[in-house]
Amino acid sequence: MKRDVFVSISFLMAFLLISYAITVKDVLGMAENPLRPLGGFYLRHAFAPSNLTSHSPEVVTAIVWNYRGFDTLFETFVFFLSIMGALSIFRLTEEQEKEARSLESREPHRHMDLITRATTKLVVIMIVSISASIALHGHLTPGGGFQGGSAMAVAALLLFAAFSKFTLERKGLTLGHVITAYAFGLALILATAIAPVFLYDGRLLQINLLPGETGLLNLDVGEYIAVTFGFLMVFLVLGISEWIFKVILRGEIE
Amino acid sequence: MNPLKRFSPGTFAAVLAVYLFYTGSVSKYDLITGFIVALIVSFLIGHWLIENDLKLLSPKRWFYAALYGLRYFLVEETKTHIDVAKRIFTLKANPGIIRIPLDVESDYGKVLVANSITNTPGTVVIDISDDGKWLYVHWIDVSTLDEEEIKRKVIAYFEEYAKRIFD
Repeated sequence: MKRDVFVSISFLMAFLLISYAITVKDVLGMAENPLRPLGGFYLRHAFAPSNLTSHSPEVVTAIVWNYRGFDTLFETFVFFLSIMGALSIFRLTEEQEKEARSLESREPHRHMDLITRATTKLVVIMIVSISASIALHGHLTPGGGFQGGSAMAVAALLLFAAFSKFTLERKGLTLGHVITAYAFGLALILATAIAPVFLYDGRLLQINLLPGETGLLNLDVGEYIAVTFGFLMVFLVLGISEWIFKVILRGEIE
Repeated sequence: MNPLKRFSPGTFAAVLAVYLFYTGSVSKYDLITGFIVALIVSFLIGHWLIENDLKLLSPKRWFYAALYGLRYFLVEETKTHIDVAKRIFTLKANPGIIRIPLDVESDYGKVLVANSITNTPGTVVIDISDDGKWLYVHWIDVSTLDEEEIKRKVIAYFEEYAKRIFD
C-alpha cells in the first residue's frame, strides 16, 4: 500500500517535471519552430486535390498506411508470425481435438447468471457496431483497422467470460472458420498492397493510384478483420483448459 | 434453417442505430456501410439478441417504456435519494439481505427489475436464483419480513411496468 503511494507520487512528479520542462522552459525548442517541414508536408498533402495525396482527411491514417505503409505492412506480418507461432505450439491433431472436446464436455458446465448474460448480449452488440464504425471510418475520423479490431476482441472476451467457449463454438466460431476469416483479411491487405503494381504500373503499396479512398478503406477493413480474428484465434486456442492440454500432450488418456 | 427466418429486423435496427449514433453523421457513405454491417450482424447472430421482433412494433410497449423512464428517474430516484441522505445524517439503518419472488417472465424484464432495484440508492441486487424466480437483495432498512410488504416497498411498481414492456 505504502509502496503504491510512493510509486504513483513519483510518476506524477516526473510527469509534472517533464511537462514543465517542455512547455515553460522549452528544452526541445518547439516554441520558435512550431511546425517542422516534414509535418507541414504531411498536413498539406494528406488530403489535397493535387498529385501527391492519400485521399484522407485523417492525417494519422494517411501516415500509418501510406507514408509509412511498409512499416504497418511488416507489423501485420509480425502479428501474423506470432499468431502462427502460438498456433503451432498449441496445435492439436484431429484425434487430439476430438479427445479435447470429449474431456471438455465432462467438465462442469457453468455460465454466469441471467442478469449478466442479458446485459452482456446488449453490450456485445453495441461493441460490435461501434468497432465496425471505428474501422470503417478510419480514413475519415480518428480510428482505423487495428483500433476497431482491438475493440472487437473485447467483445469476444466478454462472450467468453459471460457465456463459455462452447457457446461460441456452437454458434459457428470454430477454429477452422476463424482461421479462414483471418486469411481473408490478410489476403485483402496483400491484394491492396500489390494492386498498384499490376493495375497502374506503380510501386508496391502506392495506394494513392487507386481510385479515391479505396486503398485506405481496403487496408483498414483488412486490418480490422485480421486483428479481430487473430485475437479470437488465440483466445479459442488458449480457452482449452490447461489440464486437458497436459493430459493430451503427455498421452495420459485411459 | 431458412435464411429469411434467421434474419432479425430488431437486431438490424439496433445495430444500425448504434452505428449511426457513434459515427455522428448520416452521409451516404455512413448509411451504406452501416446498412452492410447491420445486415451481416443480424444474419450472423439471428434471434440471439431479440427473440420476438413483433414485440418491438407494439406502440403500447414503447409508451409504457417512456412512461416508466420518466416516472422512475424523476420520482422514484428523487424519493430514494432523499431517504438515503436522511439516513446518512441520522445514522438510522437496519441492513440485511432479503429474498423477493419475481413474477415477470422474460429475461429482459427480470434485468429491468433487477437493475432498477440496484440503481435506486439503498437497495442492491446481489444474486438471482438459477431458475430466475427469486432475487436476493441487500436492503438498507429491513423494516419488515412479510413477503408482500417487502415486495411493495422494494420493487414497488417496477414489475408491473416490466411485465407491460417485455412480457
